[in-house]
Amino acid sequence: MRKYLPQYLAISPFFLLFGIFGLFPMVFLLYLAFHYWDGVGEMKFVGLDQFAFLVTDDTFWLSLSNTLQIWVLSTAPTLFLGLVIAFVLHSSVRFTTFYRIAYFVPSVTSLVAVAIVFGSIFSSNFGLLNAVLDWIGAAKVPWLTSELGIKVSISALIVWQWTGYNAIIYLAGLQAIPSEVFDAATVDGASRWQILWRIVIPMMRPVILFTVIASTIGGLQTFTEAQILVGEEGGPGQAGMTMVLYLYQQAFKHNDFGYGAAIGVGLFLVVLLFSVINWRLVQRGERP
Amino acid sequence: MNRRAFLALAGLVAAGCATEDRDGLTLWMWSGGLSEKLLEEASRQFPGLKPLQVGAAFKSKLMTNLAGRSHVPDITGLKGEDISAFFPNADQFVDLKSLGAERLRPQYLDWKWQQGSTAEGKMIGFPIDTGPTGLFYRQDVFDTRGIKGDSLRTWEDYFDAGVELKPNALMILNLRMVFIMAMAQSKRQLVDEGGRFIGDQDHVRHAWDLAVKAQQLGINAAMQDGSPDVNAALTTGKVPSMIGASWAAADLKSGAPDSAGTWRVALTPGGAANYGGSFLGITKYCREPDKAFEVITWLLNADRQTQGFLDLNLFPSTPDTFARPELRQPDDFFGGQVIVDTFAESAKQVPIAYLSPYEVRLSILFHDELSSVETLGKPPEEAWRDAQDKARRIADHVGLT
Repeated sequence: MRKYLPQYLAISPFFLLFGIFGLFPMVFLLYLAFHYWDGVGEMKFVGLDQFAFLVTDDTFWLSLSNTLQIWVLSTAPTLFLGLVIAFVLHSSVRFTTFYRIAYFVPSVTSLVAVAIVFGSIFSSNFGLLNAVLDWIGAAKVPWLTSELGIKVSISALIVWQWTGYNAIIYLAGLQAIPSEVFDAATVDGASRWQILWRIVIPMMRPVILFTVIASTIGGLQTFTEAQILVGEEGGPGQAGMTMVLYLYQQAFKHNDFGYGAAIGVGLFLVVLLFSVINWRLVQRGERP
Repeated sequence: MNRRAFLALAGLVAAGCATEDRDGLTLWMWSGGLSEKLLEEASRQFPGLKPLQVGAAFKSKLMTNLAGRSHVPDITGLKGEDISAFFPNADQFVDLKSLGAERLRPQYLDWKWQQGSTAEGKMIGFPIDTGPTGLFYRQDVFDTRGIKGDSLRTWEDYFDAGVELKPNALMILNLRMVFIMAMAQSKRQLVDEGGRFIGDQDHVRHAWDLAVKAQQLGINAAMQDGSPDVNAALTTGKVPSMIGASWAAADLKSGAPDSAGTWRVALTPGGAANYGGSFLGITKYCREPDKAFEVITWLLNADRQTQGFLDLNLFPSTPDTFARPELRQPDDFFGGQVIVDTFAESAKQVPIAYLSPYEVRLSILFHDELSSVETLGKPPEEAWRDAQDKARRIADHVGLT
């Protein structure tokens, strides 16, 4: 033990930080979910009451459905566009560094600032997008005041922010594919499109799975985009009320920390479910 | 590094976390809550006073520090919409009556004083400013149909004028505004002093019906608060009126500067109301409550409230201030009107209402349903039933009868 002290010491910062900021809150969350607590006063043990309230809470199920819809609406275009952009970046020869930086900038831009800009773009009567629609003679769309419009707007923001990030990851994956494979395909007369679908995508399977899992975990925790675009109540019809936004509202706005924790447990179970599905997909892929 | 050195270092870090600077008096405030100039002056007057600007999510931060029992401010601001949420934990604050607050009561607006006290009569908040409401309207737009803003005394008058003006202009910004203001005019809110849910009673239904009527008359612009649409509509006159608190005048000036001179203020149709306005409280962690109370009363006496109005548009909670010439200045944005007079009249008539800790949580349910009515076309009766079901569920959940 003594002999390995320097090594343990070297890795200890992570475990210390994880223990304080990761493990402890998780355990405390579970404990909290069995209590009623307003954040300051006495905690009152209420058994499974919070969970009983959770499963019968229409707003919770609505937030789950909203989250999944926004996740699908945002993840599919993000990953598809990311792959296409990576493929184009990989093939082009000029200004590659410029493009790489340009595509990466959105994911390191302050989300609050971005959401305010998007708010002006999607605003119903005086928004940029509706002004363009009006100009080309199309009907205005109530982006932030209709149920589908809200979900599309939030998804558009996520797509804008994360496409470049995924493209950079795909680009790294692409560069790991030996150039002989491309050369052989070109010699055999494959088109660019065929190279993308028949060679690149199958060979990039692990990278794609990584981005799918990362997008799933991120997508299920969508919060700031919705909060800034449609407000803490989730907008009309609560169409922008995501699970984490609901958790935040119940715990930090209404001081119902016990119920917020129960929502957290619900969120954990959903993420777990999707992780299992992802894991099964990976397993199936590895079988001969 | 050997183990002893490591432990020593760890101990040092832990000690660093534990030490707390407890000298003097800390005062937490959000930006725009109290005049900076006044706070500076107070720091000179009371050596050891340390005002600190705490940013957004003020209530959460205060709650967190109260829960953690560390770095709790001695004196803290409490927002009008938040103060009742602290009532269940009134033991975290010093009862200001025990410091002799009662003798100052005659100088302050009665309803405001009452709002800072729990149902059991413990006073945790000392009045800073108030938010008496008024009807902001566009003189130029009203003139096109010969409507006199100050003749609109009831909601019916107001709605009738709206029907006159449509469809060129839509009188109501959104239904939420109607519901909030109609509720603010009521003596009873959603929960009574005995912890009974009364959100299914006539006074709530009345506010709801008013909002629904505005929708049915076709005079509702259905714009979401805070969206860029609102400022544009107020500037162009598409929405020629707004019922808001005195502090909304500042928002109007910054949001619709191009419409300067066309606005006027009249008394709120349907009666006086209050919306917003904050308090100062002393936490139980304060070591010198008497000195803290001295600071509070210094900051919030009638003279300083005049200063607060001039610096930040904080409407005074001391009626003696209303008649001062510094406040009664003609305002060019409002065509030279002395708008303080209108708000002062409103401030004297605000009904005394008990605000329970659950008011925000429950009223949001009604606001959400009204926004579904105006933007998604949800049938109003269905929306009312849904609001009632959800409110009853939450009332049971938090232990109301």
